[in-house]
Amino acid sequence: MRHRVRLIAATAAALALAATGCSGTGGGADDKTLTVWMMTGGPGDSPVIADATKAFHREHPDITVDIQVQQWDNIVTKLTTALASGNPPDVVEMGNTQTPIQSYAGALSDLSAARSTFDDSTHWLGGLAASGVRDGRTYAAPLYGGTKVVLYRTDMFAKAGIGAPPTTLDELVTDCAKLRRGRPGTFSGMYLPGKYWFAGMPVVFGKAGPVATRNAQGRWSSRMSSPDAVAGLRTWQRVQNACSTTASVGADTNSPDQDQVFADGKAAMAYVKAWEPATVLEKNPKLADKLGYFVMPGYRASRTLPVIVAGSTVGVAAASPHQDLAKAYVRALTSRHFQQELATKLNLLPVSSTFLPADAPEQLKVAAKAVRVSQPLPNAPGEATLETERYNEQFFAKIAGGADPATAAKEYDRHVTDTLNTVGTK
Amino acid sequence: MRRRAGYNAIAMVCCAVLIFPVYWMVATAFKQPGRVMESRPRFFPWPISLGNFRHALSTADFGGYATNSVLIALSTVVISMVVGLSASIALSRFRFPGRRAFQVLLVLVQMVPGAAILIPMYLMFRSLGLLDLPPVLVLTHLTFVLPFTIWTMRAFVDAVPPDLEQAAMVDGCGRLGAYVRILLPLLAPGAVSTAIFAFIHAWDDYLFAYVLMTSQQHYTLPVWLVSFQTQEGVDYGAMIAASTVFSLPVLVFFLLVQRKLVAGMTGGAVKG
Amino acid sequence: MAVLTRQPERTRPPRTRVHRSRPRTLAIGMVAPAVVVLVAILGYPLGRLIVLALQEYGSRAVFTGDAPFVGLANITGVLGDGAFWAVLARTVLFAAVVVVALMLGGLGLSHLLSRVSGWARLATTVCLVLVWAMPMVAAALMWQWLFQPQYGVVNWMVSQLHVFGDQTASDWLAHPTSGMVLIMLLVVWKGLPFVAMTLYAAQSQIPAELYEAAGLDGATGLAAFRTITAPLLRPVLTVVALLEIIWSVNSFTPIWVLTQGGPNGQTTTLGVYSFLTAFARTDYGVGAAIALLTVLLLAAVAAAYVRRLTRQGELA
Repeated sequence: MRHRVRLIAATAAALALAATGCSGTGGGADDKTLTVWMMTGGPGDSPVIADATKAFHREHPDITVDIQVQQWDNIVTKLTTALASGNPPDVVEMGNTQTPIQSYAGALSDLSAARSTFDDSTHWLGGLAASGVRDGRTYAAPLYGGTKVVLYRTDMFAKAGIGAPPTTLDELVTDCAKLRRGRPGTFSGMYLPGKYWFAGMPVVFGKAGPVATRNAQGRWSSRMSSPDAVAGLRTWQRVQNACSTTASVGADTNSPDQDQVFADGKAAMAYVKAWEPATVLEKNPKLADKLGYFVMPGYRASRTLPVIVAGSTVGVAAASPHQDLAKAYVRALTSRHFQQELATKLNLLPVSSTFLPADAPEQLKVAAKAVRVSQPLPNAPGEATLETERYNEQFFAKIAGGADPATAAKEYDRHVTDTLNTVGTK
Repeated sequence: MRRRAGYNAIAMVCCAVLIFPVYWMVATAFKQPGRVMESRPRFFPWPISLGNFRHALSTADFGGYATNSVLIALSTVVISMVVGLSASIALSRFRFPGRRAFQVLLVLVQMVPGAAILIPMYLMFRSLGLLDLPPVLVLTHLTFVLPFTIWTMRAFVDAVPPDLEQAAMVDGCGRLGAYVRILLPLLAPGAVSTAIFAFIHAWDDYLFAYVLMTSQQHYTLPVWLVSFQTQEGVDYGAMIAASTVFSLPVLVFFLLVQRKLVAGMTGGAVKG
Repeated sequence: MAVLTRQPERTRPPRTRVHRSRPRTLAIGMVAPAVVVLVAILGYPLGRLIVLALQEYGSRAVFTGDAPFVGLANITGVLGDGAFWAVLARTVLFAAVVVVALMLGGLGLSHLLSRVSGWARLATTVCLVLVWAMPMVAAALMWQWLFQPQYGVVNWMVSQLHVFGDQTASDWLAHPTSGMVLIMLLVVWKGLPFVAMTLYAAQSQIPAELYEAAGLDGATGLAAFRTITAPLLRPVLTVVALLEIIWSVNSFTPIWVLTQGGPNGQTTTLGVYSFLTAFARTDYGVGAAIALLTVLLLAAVAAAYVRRLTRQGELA
């Protein structure tokens, strides 16, 4: 009796499912639909994307643009499988370090010919544009950039008698000591979680230049154990230990939440991304007129620390049946107008240095200044692997925790050289 | 009587300790969005706020994702229970050709890590043109849930002596009827545990749903859950509220199943 | 006076004595759907998995389909990797501790469930289901949060005890030992409901009369457990224990969320190692090789059980 009831229920459920399944279309199956995959946290899930679609519709009014927002978790697997399926999305946004994997796989269309039709592509930010290039051909256009600047409490600085933001790393350490005076042990002059390699790596870049380089034959080698780089690591150790609490040595920016720490007044400075100040103000609106920004200082007053420019690129699926339409949409996304919208509305760095609007928010202006001294990450598929493995996080946390930089760097070189040379090279 | 009270007390202490993290999650979900993380923890959310829930549920696709999840999870449970139960009874009560090989394969199949089978499955469905179809997800969940169901329920069937069904068959009941009327009720407690496992397995799956489905309208709730952990950081308030909402249907499922199927759970052993 | 005892009249022979083919048809009918589903859906992928292990298969191969055969190179590569053996040792230790804790805790809870009043049983069961229902990712994030430096509730509570000093700033997850302990705690906590409820379900199948009879003979408590409960629970106990071994060896999410296998790879178990190799390095061939090695390892552990299964007509 129950058996039969269950059978009926099972059939009913299966039929219901089949009904939902039948309405499935994958990527751009429809001739009149352009499927665009954007990543969460960027322009894709903000109303601003409508402007790009509007510009696209001026040329192609009868095409429907279907924007689908993707999650970052396991996105490389998802993109690899989706672009290789029979029904891929037409336009895809990718993190800049994940782009080389896709161009290596052959999943992206060659945009070299179309590149000159994109607004001001000759002035594209070096680091970002490079990630879309493989063997001299362009496979992806930069979509937006982002870099980090130092957010600081103007009131705490005033109270500690610091007149102007520090211009060298030594001054930064001194300022941290001044800010710490009279405050509890949980206070950081500058909150620098040990795993925050986006803060640690520039300290190495500033002393030693790029850590991983490629020779003429295309072979990568990592020189973290060179004397300059080791000196850089020692400086990171010194700055992190002096400025940030002992508890933060093994932490990352999420646990505990960096913005919460800053909003709670447990730090006078923090190294932040574009959207973090807004989050800080959400947590503590009283800080509204107490915030300022400056570029992370370097070893000498004349040269700030080279920043890492992160961001997203956008590409066209090689297997898409709508090549021209897709390229037209990419043109809309990289246009001066849309890029300026990204700057003013989302605090994102435009892809071309000439695009920065005059009325950009202060934080963005500081970021644009910071970007003048930048160091791109290795443009290799293996870089995405290192990020998924969280390898740099663990390395910089190890150094902050007191490990000997010279010894640790040797192991780093071995692993990084191997990864960059074996992943996505065959 | 005093003994029972002693056990009751121990049970309540165990409950309190076990449930604390869940309590903390739910209590935090009801705190005001900006006050979710504090150095001095507040054990009771006051004032109670629905802000986090509003934020979590305001995602455009929540309804669609929820529907997909419910349909897929329920189908998985129903099919696995029907197919799995009958196979486990057959395995326990009968000898038939291939029985030994089948049992060994069932055990071996469960040892394969789930994520490892993702790419081969993707390749298979791609060549069959079956990507982006939700019913396919039910099938992939079944490959994990079925062996588990058959293997676990078989152990439960083994523990019930065949005399009871045989007595029923002597009294004129058909073999299948004997199974349904005599054996199944005795298997109810084990079936509940297995059914919950099947539901949770299908409900919690992120990787297969995310990779085998390519259109946003076919995603399931775990994709929604992940959306609060962005590259910008974790929106803890919304994520906690989302996790609370996400956990509720499992509880609902348990309460439903437990009321309809269970004989032994609340009453102790029921034997003829 | 001799009383003739006669078998009660049967109008037709009992069904159990009818020719073998009827039960056999029914048996095959009951097993067939499961076999069909499993063979249809798993047959190709499992075969493909074995083939993948013999190929060099990266993201380009997913796109083009060309993947050179490298024979056993993937497998020997993994076996020759020193890191693999460290991971393996760590996994064995992890699984041993977790499974023992789970079985003991589960048995204890199941025993508790059989001894309490109805309302307490319902309350405890609901508690267990709530723990079970919580998605693993949320549970892991919650765990991370409970033990966070500066904001962690447990840090705060421990500090209030004034026994260990001020622990508010301790970062438990940043040290390999305390990190591993926290991971084990999470895995055991999350796994208890299934073990407890399944064992209780099995225990509730044991007739009360058996305990009464034993009680009359003077065997109560531990003796009753040894002579009645344990033997009758054995089929389910074995299955649950083996499942927990398999799941803890393959465990990924709790470890990844809490420590990402760090610091310095010191909490990396087989599940994490497999993810790092297959998905981080997009080397699906080696990932498949590790999966096969995992199955071999687990099969070796379950060998005694599997052998008993293949013996004629044997129950677990």
